Amino acid sequence: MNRLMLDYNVLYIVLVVAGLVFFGAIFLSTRPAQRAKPARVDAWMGREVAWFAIVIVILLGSLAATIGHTPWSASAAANRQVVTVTSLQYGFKFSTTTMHVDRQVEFHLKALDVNHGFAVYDPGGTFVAQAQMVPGYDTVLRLTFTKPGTYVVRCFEYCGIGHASMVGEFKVVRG
Amino acid sequence: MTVTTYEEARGLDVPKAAVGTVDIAKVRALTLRYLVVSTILLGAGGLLGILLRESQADLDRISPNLWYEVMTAHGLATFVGWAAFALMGVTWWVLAECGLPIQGWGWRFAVACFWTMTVGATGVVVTTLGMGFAGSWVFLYPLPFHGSWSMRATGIFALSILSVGLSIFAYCFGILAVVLGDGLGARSRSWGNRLGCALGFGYIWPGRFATEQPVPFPVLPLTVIAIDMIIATVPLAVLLVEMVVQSLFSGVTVNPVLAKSMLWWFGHPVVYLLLFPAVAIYYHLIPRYAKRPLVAGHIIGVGWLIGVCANVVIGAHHMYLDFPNTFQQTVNLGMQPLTYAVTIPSALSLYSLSFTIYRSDFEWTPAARFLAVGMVSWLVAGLQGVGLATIQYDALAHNTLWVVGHFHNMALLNIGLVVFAAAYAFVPQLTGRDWHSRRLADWHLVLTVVGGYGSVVPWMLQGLEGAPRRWAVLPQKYETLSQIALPFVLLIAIGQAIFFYNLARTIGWRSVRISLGSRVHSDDTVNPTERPSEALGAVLAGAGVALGLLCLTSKPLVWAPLGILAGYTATTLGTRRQGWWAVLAAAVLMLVGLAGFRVPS
Repeated sequence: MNRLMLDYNVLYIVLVVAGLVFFGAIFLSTRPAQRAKPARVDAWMGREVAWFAIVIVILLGSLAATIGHTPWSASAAANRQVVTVTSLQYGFKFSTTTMHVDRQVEFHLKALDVNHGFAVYDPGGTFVAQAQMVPGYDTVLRLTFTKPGTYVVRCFEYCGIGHASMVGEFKVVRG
Repeated sequence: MTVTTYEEARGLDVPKAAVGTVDIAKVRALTLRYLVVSTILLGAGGLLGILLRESQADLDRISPNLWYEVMTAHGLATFVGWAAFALMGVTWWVLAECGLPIQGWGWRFAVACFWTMTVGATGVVVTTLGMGFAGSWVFLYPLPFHGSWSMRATGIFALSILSVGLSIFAYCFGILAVVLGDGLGARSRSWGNRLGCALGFGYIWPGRFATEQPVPFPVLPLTVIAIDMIIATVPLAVLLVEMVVQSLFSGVTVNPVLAKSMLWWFGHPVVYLLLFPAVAIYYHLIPRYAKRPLVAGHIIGVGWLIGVCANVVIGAHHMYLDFPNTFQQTVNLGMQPLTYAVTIPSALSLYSLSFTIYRSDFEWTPAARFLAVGMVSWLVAGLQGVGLATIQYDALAHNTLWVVGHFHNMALLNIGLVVFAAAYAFVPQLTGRDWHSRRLADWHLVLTVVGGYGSVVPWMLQGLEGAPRRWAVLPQKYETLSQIALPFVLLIAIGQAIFFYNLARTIGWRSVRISLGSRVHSDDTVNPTERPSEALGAVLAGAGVALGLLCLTSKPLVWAPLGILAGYTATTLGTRRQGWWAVLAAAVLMLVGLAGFRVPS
């Protein structure tokens, strides 16, 4: 399992549990014993502005923490290896299928017919990265592999009835 | 019997708009017609969904061709044909109950919306299951022109979606015709000022956007979606026209990135075509059950102002993984904050709804229970949406089954529950009859929620492991979770079967008795269900003939029995003659199909 994806989902589960506690409290408050306590509707209405401010702050914080991490943000290394990948229903064609550990690979992704997806899995089957392959365009994806072995590539954009058979692979070797 | 006595006789709330301003019986019949037809589409789409899941779990594997045809039909049948269509119908009733009469152009658009959607849905069924179109329900250009299906199938499919687009236009213009009318009580005669009032500007600037009484809160999300969907649907309509032309003249093409942008310009706002009307229903029903007004101040107006602006431009967040040039990369970067912004109306709404319930004398009716669970799912699925709006996370989750889990969580377990809540709340008002069984309604909720989450969670776990979406046959490592999900899919199916039965017992049996000429109670004569039943019968008879015609393309032993069934059902709904003609047509066409005759494709 991809570590970053796992971290996101742990945070997500914490937030969901907090939400369930909140809704539990809201729904249980409609029991007769709870209803007997005074209801301050005007105060809750006023606090909506505070809630609005809290939401804005949370969203801005999330934005600041994540916006710099995009799949196109890796700058080109001087010693990078350039690999061209061409896709066509239902297969990938690599200019070379041998790459090197710790040496940046600059994939140039091209599609000849329809939209395809280029999704890379490491030798352990863990998802690594992906990008779309659009007809008529050259999409650049820069990755640095740290594990040697055979990497699997799967098509990640529905491309026709042979979509599930569109698989490729390449090797990453030391040195 | 007049409308007033009809309502009084049953102790129902009289919509403020009802008496003396509009023929409320017409709105009641039209709303019920939407609900019934969309429920039929839920049944059809749901069965297709079961087929997809059982095949992926390798219970009885179907061919990839059929799997992708079914995938295309399932998405459109459930998302648009059921959820959007039902919410469109309920919109008219909610507006009427808010004191806004559905008349004049509002009424004409409401009727046009129904028929154009029905035509579009029929076309989708014919082109996918009948003609083999399997370009997926997002029909990502240029795939529709690189498939194993014919150009004719692509052209008719595009025309069918165009009809759905026309339905959306009719819905939006219908809402605007209603909310810009006198029912809103705007003091200004200016259209611009009235539109501002309907958008809730009066909560922010009460002097400038003055109304006789506060604008009902359900009007805000409905006006927002009406404006946004008009803007969002225009480019899609242009793309569909291009596709029709290209299906006839192959030399006509369009840039794939431009086509993708046009699709997603529409493709995300259309999600809100479901969510915002659902919010309107929350705003309408939660205060009713809590017996207090919605706890919302001027800030909710600010929230919807942000919503109307952000919602219409965020479609490109579906293209985070398309970054072939710096322009597209810049657009993608802008999408993240804008998509975050569109969560603000949801965050404010959940706050308002929660504190409307808090310590209230809340009436836990079946509809109220559906709404309460729906609110929880709104948060659960909404948080997933914030994750997907984040480029860093979307780069990992995009096009995995995690996304499939997310939108089923939102569409079935939030919006779907609101559709059911609306049915449980409004069907008694639409028919004058109480629900056949409240206990069955409770079972419906339990089975849908347990089955729903039991079905969604395996998808999310598979997605976490990198399982790709839209794969007819998944790599073997994901198969166990596919199989674990199957019993839960069955629970959903049982839940919906209970709902169909309960609905039929509530609205249908009486109509059947009337159509068969048996003795009926005197007040049956005012039951508005007679009209939608006849309309439904006509639709089913037409569907029977259409299914019969599919025998001339392929699989006569599949289509003809379905056509005969549809025709026979029509005979029980007050359209005996049309129904029997449909049965006859389907039978004859089956024989023709079995004889080997095929329409050349």
